Amino acid sequence: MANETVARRYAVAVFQLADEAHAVDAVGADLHVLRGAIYEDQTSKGFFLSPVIDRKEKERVLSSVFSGKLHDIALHTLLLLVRKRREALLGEIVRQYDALQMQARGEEPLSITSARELSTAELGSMVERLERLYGKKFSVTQTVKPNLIGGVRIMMGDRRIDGSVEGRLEELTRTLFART
Amino acid sequence: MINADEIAGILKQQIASFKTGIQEDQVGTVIEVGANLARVYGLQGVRASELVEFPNGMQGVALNLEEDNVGVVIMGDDQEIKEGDKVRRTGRIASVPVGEALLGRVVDPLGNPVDGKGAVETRKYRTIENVAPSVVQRQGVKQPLFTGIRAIDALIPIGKGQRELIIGDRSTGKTAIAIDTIINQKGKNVFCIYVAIGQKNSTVAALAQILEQKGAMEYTTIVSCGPADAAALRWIAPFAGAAMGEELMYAGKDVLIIYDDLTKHAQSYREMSLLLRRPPGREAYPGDVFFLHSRLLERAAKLSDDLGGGSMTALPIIETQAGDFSAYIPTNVISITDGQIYLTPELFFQGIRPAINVGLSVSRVGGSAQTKAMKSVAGPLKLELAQYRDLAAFAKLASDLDKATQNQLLRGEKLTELLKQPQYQPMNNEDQVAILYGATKGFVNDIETSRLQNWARGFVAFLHEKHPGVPEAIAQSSQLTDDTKKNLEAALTEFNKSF
Repeated sequence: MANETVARRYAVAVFQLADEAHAVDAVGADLHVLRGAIYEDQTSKGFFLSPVIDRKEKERVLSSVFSGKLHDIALHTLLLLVRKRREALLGEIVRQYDALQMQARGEEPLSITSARELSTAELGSMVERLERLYGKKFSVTQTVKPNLIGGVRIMMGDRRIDGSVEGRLEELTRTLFART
Repeated sequence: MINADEIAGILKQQIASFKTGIQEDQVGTVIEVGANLARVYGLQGVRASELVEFPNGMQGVALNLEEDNVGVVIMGDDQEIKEGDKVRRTGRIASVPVGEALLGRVVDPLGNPVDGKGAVETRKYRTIENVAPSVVQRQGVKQPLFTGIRAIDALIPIGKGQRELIIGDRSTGKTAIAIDTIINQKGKNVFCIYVAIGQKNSTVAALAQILEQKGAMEYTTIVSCGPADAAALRWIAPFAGAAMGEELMYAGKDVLIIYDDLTKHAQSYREMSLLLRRPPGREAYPGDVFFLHSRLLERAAKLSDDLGGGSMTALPIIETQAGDFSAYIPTNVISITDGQIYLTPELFFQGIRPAINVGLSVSRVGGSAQTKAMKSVAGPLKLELAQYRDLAAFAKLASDLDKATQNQLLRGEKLTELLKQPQYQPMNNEDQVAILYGATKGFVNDIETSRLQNWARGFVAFLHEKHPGVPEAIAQSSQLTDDTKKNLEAALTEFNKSF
């Protein structure tokens, strides 16, 4: 999407600034706080996204609410978005910023979906084996989806490693309905 | 018919041999879907034109590979695809079932039967996009492909492996020429593929019925996709048809393929391209619309003898708007093909049907494929018609004309009359030669123009009944020897006495 590309330009700029100021984590945390604060409440979200409200008014309100409480880079990003009429990009910018942060740490996203909650030991050994196998460091997110019936499904970027019962059933369906 | 026990047996076998274990593949996520297109995030390694699969088994083709997403055209209904669905790479490109099992069938562009006659019994598949035969794999066009239409076979001959465009306004008889040509291939060992692109389903059904009645369906495959189908299907239809034809061509057979019509094909491609946000060019067509058609038509070929000598003759059809041949798509396809048959509404409404404008129609390579017999009658015919056209334009202004000019005009009128031919009545090459020989040698000079159609029909019947040796001799030697000429002239004189 076009938005994604624009958001990435902003995210890269913010990230570089934060990196120069040695405040990558602080700015990242502040951006999350901002997103949380603005998107959680319908009124504030409406106020933030509305194109009807005057930009100067928005800037005044936002700087009075957040100034002093956030890192300057995060606050200025927010105000710049308002001035440029790019308010809607905030969520995507935060996502892209997280990705850049992860990349800077030399980690890759890894999502593990399992049929039941995995114990810390199970998860640890699995991640450790994957890290050894691929020679990478992973930032792990875990979700539970009973639909899998059994086994786990691992997503590493584009690559899907499917060891779940649901996946095997899908594969069986494909085999049985295959044309050749 | 396979029974339930057998099915269960096969399933049991497949389930038993089913590979268990971990399966790894590349997936992306749908971020936007609509208008039969999906934007997919991820799928980093996907290749251009690769087939991808949606969760409900629906297939798509990855067309736009962008920085962070992939534009996929969905081959079918997009209703069941949702945002967030996982899209899987298949590592294959689209292919269709091919082989002789498809003859007599009506299929969609993916090769699924739509004629209610059950499954297509073939195990062979062929990718829809293939590289056209190279220079060394080809030979020149040298065998004639008879259309059975006098005006075409005599004046604009088509050879096997040629690409001859049929161009004209709506309802000027473009499809009629194509259908007559299919009907005329009966017993000539030529397989036909008719690709209907965006044609009304009712039209295609009527057409299939006519081919069935004429006994032409047994050597014909119809690839059909209607106006209600996805643009992607209309886009791949001619390529699928070409793949089916190629299979037969590489098996050493002769194939005739009709693309009806490439105007709608270009429009479907334009629709897809614009929705994929590719930059529009002239008439809003994308920049590669010329390549789209040139690579399709380049697949028509006459293969070298080493490769079996098979051929694929292509008759693309283009519909013009109000006779505008200089629009983008018509000029493109005119420059790609080896000649064109121009049909004009003026001739059509004057009652000259097929409404071929013989002055503007050409066949760039067909001459070398024409039989000697036909060449010997076509030469004088062309000359007389050209002179007639010049005079006719002039005679509109002049009041009294001398005797010689009047005669010339009259003969031109008679020849034009003899080039008229009713639909669904293709004629053998030898009969065409006999009639045109009579016409150019002055045997019709004393017959009223209005009775000429009857004369032609009557003479053919008479010739086969009383002098069967003459058409046989023409068909066998494919030339007019002095002997044959003498016999033919005798027959003409005899028939004219009784007519």
